[in-house]
Amino acid sequence: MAGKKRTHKMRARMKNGMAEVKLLLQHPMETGNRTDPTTGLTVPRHFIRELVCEHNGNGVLRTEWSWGMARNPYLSFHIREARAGDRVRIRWSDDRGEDDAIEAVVS
Amino acid sequence: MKRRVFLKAGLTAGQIAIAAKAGLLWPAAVLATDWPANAFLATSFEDAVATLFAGEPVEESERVQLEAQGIAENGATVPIAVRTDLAGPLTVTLFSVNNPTPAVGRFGLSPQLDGYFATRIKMAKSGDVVAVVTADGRHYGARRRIQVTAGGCG
Repeated sequence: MAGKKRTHKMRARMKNGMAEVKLLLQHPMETGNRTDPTTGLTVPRHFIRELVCEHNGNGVLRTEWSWGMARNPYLSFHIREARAGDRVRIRWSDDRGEDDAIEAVVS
Repeated sequence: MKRRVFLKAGLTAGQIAIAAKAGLLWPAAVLATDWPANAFLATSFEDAVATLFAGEPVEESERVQLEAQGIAENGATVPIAVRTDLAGPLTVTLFSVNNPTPAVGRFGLSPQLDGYFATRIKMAKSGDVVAVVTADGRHYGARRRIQVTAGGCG
């Protein structure tokens, strides 16, 4: 994956009085059980371990994942007492210590 | 309300020590280190449950709803959603019973969330998906059979 830009997507918009957050990350989420068909070698385990979401700086969601989550993880949830213009920030880190974050303004 | 015991399992001393650390802190700590390694590495559903819930019983409950299609064409990405009216803070743990390592993820929801989330998991083969919601120290489970036409853990 070196040199390949990863694109993560996130959207937060008001729906039924709550902020509906939708997140789509780009990550291989390798189980460690897969064999590379060309080399015949086992593809090493590589997965997002932890992910947190903050709404205006307050923690609202915290997850711990295994490699059983699907490749390019998808997550959707609803934040109560939110309004347009609020900031929603999601941070995550994987088992190799790589971390990243994405932020959206509620619309 | 009719409640039957959903699953109850024994526990070793080491597993208790790990499970005791499983509580959530609010506000969310910055990528803290209590990632439940033993539960995620457990190769049976029973062991994963025993590790995560300290041997406490999990009751089947109508207050937890697991939403998913009964047939998944691609086990590599199976959409599921969990919905509950239980009061937060909540911890929701997902399992795919027939995966090589059944525990898939743990989701800590603050009271500011509405007891719902949707995601996608891997399923190695057909079997049950289980969601356990922990609220106020008790564990409430829902289970749903999903038939997988192409496995996703290869």
